[in-house]
Amino acid sequence: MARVDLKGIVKSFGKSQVLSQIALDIRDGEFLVLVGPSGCGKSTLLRVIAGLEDADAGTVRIDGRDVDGLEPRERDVAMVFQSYALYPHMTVRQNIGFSLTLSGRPKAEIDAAVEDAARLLGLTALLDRKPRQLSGGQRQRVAMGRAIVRKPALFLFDEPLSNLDAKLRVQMRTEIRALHERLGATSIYVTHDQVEAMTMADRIVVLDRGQIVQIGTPLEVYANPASRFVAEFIGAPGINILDGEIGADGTVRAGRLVLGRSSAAPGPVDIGIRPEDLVPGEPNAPDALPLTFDIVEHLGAETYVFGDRDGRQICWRRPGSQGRAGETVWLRPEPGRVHLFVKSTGGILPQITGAS
Amino acid sequence: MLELRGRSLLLGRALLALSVVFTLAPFLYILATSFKTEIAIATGDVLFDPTLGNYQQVLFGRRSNFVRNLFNSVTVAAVSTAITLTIGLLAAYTLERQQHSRLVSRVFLGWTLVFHVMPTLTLIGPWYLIFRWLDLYNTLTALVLVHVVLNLPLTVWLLMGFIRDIPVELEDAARVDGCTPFQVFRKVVLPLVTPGLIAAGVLAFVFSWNEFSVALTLASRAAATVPIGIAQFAQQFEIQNGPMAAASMIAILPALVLMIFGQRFVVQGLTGGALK
Repeated sequence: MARVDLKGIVKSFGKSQVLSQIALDIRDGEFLVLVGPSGCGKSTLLRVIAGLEDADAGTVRIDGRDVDGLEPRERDVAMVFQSYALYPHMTVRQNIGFSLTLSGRPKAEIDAAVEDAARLLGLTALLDRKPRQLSGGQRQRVAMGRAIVRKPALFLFDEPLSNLDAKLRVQMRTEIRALHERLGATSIYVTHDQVEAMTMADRIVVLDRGQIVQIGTPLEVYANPASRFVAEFIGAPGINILDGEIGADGTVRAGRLVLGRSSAAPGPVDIGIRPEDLVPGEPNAPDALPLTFDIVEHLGAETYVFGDRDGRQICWRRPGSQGRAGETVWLRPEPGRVHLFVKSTGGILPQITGAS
Repeated sequence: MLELRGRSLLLGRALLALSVVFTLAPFLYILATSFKTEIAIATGDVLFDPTLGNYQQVLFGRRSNFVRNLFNSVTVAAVSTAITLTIGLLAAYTLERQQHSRLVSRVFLGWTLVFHVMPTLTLIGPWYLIFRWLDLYNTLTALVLVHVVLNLPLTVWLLMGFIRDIPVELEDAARVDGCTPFQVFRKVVLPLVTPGLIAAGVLAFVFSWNEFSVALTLASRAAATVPIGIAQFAQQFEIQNGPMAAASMIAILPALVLMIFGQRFVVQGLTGGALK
């Protein structure tokens, strides 16, 4: 178990800066998820922590120990890779025990540790197979086994589930989380899948173009996004964005829709409303707008309805299974659940006060 | 896979048969010759009484130097292959994995190719002078050195392909698991590149085994290899067809065994990266 402190991490590849001034404290025993679109630097950050890449500037401390310039093997970390990176010429047993063999532990101890890890992951029957004889999910488990057998201070996961099919991914998600509860070791988990981030994390770190844009628990990040980027990245189906404006008198409008008052400076804004924050409203009321359904997706317990509003797609997430294409419903946002963003920068603005 | 049907299938089979005949006929002719007496060869008998005389003469004859030739060839081929593989593997790994600018590896590879593209004969003159000067003329050392130079380009190219196919993540995983850089190479890269080493090794060995022009120039009797030994059966006034054929058959054996054993890896090496 370990704390991890990152200070002022900077990393460039050639001319492009991949990480700029990353500062982050990871608590002991925490499951931290780094999430962001591809190319945001999350994997590079993980590799810097692992010691596979050297940062251009900044310090990495693991449990108070400055590990800059140390080789990965000297950092007491274990890593699970996207491709699993199992050694093809070794059996499952040798793969899991490789790190212990390298550190020269007695054979009996290695065998016991490998058996324990295998039992925990349900791999006991497969110990003498080679990786190519395993299914994707089994390989994934072997990669996990290789990490946990060492009892490292820190687990690093680099998109470990993205090569699995959807069903297995959901299953492994809960398994990894359960394993974390059981072992209690600090874990840093990189993913581009916001669902994984939401479901697995103690805290989410959202990265965009090499910078941290928000840190918080999944619900904090979902309910109070720090910017339009975060709001759009987290949540599926994505948040609805309407073109709007804050008038000279502080009234927030989107077309004919009047949403309330804002203390922010007048000017054009983006209005963000989550699909589940829309509710049926009074026809022709000033706080409601009509939505004609173009596409209706039935998921059984709930229904996603999509329609067009001024050239933007609007999604309404309604419970139950009603709705068919062509129907029109007047919708209004739930008061207090509307997000305002500066049009030019995407930065968050103070919430709307008092419906008009 | 191209699948042939009907008439085109017949045609395809015929072409295949023809190419097999073209490949095998000279071989079978020499095989037959090696068991014939000089008289049977001269009269061109198709049916003949087989004799082992030619083989006896080649291997045990007082005037024959062929056992010595075999020993020289085995030594030169084995040593030059070992050196080629060692240098080639280290070079290929470095060129493929170290973050040199592309220019460095391109220039280096282009330069090594020069030895492969230029007719060997143009290099032989200078080599002759160099080895005279170094006092290495007519030694196995000279042949080993030259064969290493001639074999390295292809070896490096082949091994680079094999190393490219090893995912970098495996090396990363090994580093995290506790490997020193040397252990990464020794415990992960080396086992995985073994098929490549076999492929490159077979090609280098067979090349060195068959190499004629350099051996002819840089070695006289003491260091003569098998191809030179075979050629010496054709003297100015007498061509010993039978012994020559027998020597050829013996000379084919090691290469044949190696190719049968290594064929799978060679094909994989030459087409490596073509398909995923």
